[in-house]
Amino acid sequence: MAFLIDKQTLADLQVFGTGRPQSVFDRFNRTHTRGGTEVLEAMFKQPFSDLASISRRSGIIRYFQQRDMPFPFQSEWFDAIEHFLANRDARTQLSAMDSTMLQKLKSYTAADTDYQQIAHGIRACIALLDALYNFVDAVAEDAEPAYWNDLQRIQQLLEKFNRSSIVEDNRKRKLVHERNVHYDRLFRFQLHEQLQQLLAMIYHLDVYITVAKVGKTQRFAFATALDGGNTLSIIDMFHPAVDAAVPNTVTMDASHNVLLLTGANMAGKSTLMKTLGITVFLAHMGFPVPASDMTFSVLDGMFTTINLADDISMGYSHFYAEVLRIKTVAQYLGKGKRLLVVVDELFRGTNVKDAYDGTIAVTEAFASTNTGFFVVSTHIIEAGAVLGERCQNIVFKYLPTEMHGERPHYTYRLKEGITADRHGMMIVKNEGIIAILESGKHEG
Amino acid sequence: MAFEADKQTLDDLNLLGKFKHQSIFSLLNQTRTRGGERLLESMFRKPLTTVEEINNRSAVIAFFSKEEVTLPISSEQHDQVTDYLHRATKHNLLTSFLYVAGKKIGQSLGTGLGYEALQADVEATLRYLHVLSSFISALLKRDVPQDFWQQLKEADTVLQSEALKIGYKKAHARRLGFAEIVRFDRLLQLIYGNQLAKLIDLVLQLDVYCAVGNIAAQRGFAFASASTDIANLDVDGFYHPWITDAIANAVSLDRESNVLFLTGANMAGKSTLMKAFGVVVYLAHMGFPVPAARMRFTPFDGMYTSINVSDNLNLGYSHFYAEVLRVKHVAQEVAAGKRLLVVFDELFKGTNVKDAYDATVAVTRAFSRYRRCCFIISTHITEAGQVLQQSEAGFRFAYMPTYMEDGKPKYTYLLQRGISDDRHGMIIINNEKIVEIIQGMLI
Repeated sequence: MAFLIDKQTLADLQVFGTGRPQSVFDRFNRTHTRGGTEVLEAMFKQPFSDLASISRRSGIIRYFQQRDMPFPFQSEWFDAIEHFLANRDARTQLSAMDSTMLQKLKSYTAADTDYQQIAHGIRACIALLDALYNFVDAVAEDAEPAYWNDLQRIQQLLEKFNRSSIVEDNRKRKLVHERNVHYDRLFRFQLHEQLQQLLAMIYHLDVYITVAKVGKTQRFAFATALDGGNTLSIIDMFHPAVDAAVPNTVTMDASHNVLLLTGANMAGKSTLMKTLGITVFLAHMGFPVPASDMTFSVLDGMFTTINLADDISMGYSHFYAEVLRIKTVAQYLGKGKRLLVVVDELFRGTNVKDAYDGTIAVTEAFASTNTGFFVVSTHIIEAGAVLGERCQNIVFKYLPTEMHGERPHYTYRLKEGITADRHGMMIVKNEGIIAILESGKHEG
Repeated sequence: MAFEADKQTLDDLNLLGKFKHQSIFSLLNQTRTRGGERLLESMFRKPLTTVEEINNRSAVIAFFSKEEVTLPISSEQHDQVTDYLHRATKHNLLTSFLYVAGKKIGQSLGTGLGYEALQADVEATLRYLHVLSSFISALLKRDVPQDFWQQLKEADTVLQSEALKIGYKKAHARRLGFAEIVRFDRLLQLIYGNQLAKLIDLVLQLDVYCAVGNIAAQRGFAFASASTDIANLDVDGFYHPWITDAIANAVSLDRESNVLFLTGANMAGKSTLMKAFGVVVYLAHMGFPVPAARMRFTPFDGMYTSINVSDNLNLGYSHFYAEVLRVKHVAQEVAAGKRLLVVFDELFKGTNVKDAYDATVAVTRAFSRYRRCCFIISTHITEAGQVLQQSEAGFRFAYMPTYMEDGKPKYTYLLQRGISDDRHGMIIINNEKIVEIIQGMLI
């Protein structure tokens, strides 16, 4: 079953890049092959919602990180191979009959480009298979159980090929025409399917090795997934795109399943919420996460409302759009889906009274469920006070603003409690707008 | 002193731009000539600031609108004549003669068609001037406002000169001969050159006035009257000219109540009302007819609007800060003693509800002390209006209503006195049964 997520959430978390600083996908997209990029993209599009798949992938990546193995193939082989294997027109198949003086002459003068390309593809395939034999040898001794399945599949596929002749031919500077004819038939026709499957395995390997490396250089950690239960514990998480990000710890469980976040506009609320979203998203892909440690019960999906824009074309006001989105989330929750829901400033598109009432009503409803985790930010501290009285399972956290003289300074470090910090009015005052107007030549 | 309106104001009101979708310029741009179009554009770029200038132009356009006068000249005719007149290169009778003779010889030798083209230009110009001459002398007999009548009279004197009159007659009777071409070419380009250049400028003015006057007549626009008496702004039955079946509203501000505090839900039509009002005031300062039933005003030194400040919440802080800086700029201008119209839609919408509330109350309060300026300030935060209503004089409160029909919000677009007490937020949340769904009671 797929992990529930929608476009708005992916956009909020900047999972896929559209010009913005650096998307999460871009951060991992250091694969050596184009096929690897495609596999990586597919993984990003389908996080898991079951423990087995998450643990399996995370185990594989962790194994390759421990082995610290470089990608054992050369990137340029893959272009030659893909091009070679894509052409399955039987008329282009090399034939032993062509072994004439003319053919030899052509091959010496490099006049026959079609032939050259086929020969080039064959050489790349041989080199690839040779390297793959060596990889299997190296890995077979100490592979993690998580990778056994893949390894076994690779071994089965490799058995179809004749290792000794491949190793031997890979050492030769040039293959005679007869050998080329043999390999052409083998690779493009007889064992085409097997070779394609091997390529797919290698592209996955590319992703594992790349992600392991990125995880290591960025100091990401592997999350521990739990089956069932109500745990979400992330120690020292940080936003991967923020330089020298301040780490924060978020711990939630069944008796603390709602986090009410307050803080001034620039204090880092949105960044914290995005960080949480990205971390949980990556954890459900089985990828390393930007934190020092993480333990989580597997969820069915996640929804965030961090940058909800007015959908003018649909004619809905901002407020109505927000309500409809909350409704979608509510429907999943009503069906018993376990979700992470992150909402930045509920109902900002309306008057204070409605925002106050709406925040209380919806947050209280969230708190009454035991299916998932909810992070809600608000500027209406009065709503926070009421919620604190009514619900026992809400955790209150805030991001502080310290005043250094007239200038606000932000620590970006979560603290226990509620804050009334707002700096909007402070900017208005700092710019001296009211003072300008009061000192001008007004009447009355 | 020029009327002050910055780029954002022009953009908010969508005033300029020939090809811009639903710009006010494209609505009024029905001039015949390209020169007229350019003149219209320069009028858009330079609204007037004195009562006299405004009322003069307004009276002239009102005359053309009432009498439904159309310019008896086509764009092609006008282009041919202006091209010909601009080509004036001769200095005296000799060079003039040699110029025409050269063309004639060239044509006889079969090396060019210049002579025939010249002949056509001279004839066309004479006919054009003839048409213009009868048009203007007819206008002079009618009730044209005094200043413009003088301008027409001067042009008439030139057009009625004996030398040109002979030309009109000949140009109508038959093709002109060589000697006549030499004579009239010299007359048009050399002797009357300067007067005719002035005349062309007058034609462009006529073009704009006829075009705008006709649109005013078709659409039932009104002519605003400007006065210096009191600092007031009184607009009745105004609407946005690009909205079909637009609902008309009235707004009246003066020294005693110089702030209109507008509340209402997000889609209720606050922005459209403010845009329509901005457009009306801007057009009135151009001396142009306005999409309203009636309007009286004391001219402003300028206007600032902040209406379209993008709804893009992603911009976050920088957006809020940019907004603050603009308010600061307006504050400086207002404090410097200028008489401005200031239209702020959803001040500080880039920030949280509480800050928006505080900032709106504080800034509005401070602005309202400037009695010579007029302000329209809107917010969806009705609480801001309520607190101002209790504490301040000099405010008018109005709102755009919302009512619920089948659980969906509907709008009347008709301005009501008071502050909106629409509390549809919770109604919508309840209608959508969010709480019940979350609790698993409903799916």
